[in-house]
Amino acid sequence: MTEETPMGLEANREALYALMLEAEREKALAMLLDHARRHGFQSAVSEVLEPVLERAGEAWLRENLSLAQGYVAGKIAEDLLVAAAEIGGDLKLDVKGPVVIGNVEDDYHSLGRKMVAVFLRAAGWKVIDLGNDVAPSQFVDAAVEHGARVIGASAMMLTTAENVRHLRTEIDARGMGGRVQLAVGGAVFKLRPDLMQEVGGDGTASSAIQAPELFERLWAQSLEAEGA
Amino acid sequence: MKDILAITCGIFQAEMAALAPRFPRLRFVHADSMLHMRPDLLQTHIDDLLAEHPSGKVLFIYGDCTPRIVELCRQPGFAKTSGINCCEIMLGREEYRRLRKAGAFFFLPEWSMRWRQVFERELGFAGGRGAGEMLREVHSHLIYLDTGVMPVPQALLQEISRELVMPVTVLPTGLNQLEQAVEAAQERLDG
Repeated sequence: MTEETPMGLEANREALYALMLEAEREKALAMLLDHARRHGFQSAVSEVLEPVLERAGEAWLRENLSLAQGYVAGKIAEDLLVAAAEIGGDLKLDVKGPVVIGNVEDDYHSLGRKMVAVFLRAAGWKVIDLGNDVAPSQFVDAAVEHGARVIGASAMMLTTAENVRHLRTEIDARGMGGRVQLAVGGAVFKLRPDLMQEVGGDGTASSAIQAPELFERLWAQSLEAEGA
Repeated sequence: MKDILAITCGIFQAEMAALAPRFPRLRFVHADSMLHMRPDLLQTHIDDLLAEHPSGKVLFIYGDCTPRIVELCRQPGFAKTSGINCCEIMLGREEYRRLRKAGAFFFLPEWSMRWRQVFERELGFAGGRGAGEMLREVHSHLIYLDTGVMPVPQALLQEISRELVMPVTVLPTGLNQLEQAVEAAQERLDG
């Protein structure tokens, strides 16, 4: 494997971003695989894909990115992870975590959660995805079983987001507050930023693309809480 | 006497026109159903409507489409139709959940007519490319809810089914659930 020049990397990132905006998944994957062949999968992820996803996250915050483009960004990341798993190589998968995610009770809007899972996995997290309509006890049981320090709960509407309170209660009732950090997300949390605290969340992110950064922060908070 | 302002999602405009004689106290104001895609704009629109009508009772014929609706309806003088979205309002809670769990994605008459606008302009799937793939991640089939206010657009449904690559079925719902939901909301308003 060889090292890419800074200019070459920047050109690759620009090219990948353009392909993502144009929903050219196959071309995007081909470009990333070409990079991986020359420089390794780890470089393809950390030096090309992740900076592009960060840029996409910033565009999402400025509302310059459509849901379709965000979705395509997730699929490109997923395509690369699948290829890396099939081909093998140097990509470090499942080196962080594990973390548990799911849609809260009564919530079936799974697309956002699935995108969170993809972006977390691309960033090296081992993700236990519990699916839709997950009861508070199921979340906490899974966190205990897998030793997860972060639970990610997704909800789209105010009424389902309010079910996060029951999850907060369950975590605290089992004496796991602090050690188990609660990440919350979904469209309503962007619309009502104060809702995260109201329902007892420990942190939120405004898009799936920013989930890895949030989970890093919460994982560190868990370690701090346990050390204190 | 029309003493209740009924702020109604445009997705129900034809259905509520059919039901209007049963609700003589409701004064209907319709909002563009595409605001569902922009909850922040929907919120602003509702605030503007309420500023124009500062007194009197308000009934929302809406799902939980923006937190503002839900929170207002916890106050006296406001009520909404029960249901997290328009499909649940049309189907009732149990049937909606049963079908949703089975993988259904629903189309109501008004949105069926505007489906390209939803997927291409609002969600950004240029030429509809990728929309079906995204839907198929979480849904297995399409259900058109035939409320009975217009002929079932068979050709259009086949076009949607073909382009999204998902089977479509027609489920006659009539207007009973919607009528009951509005009736119950009006009772809560008076209660």
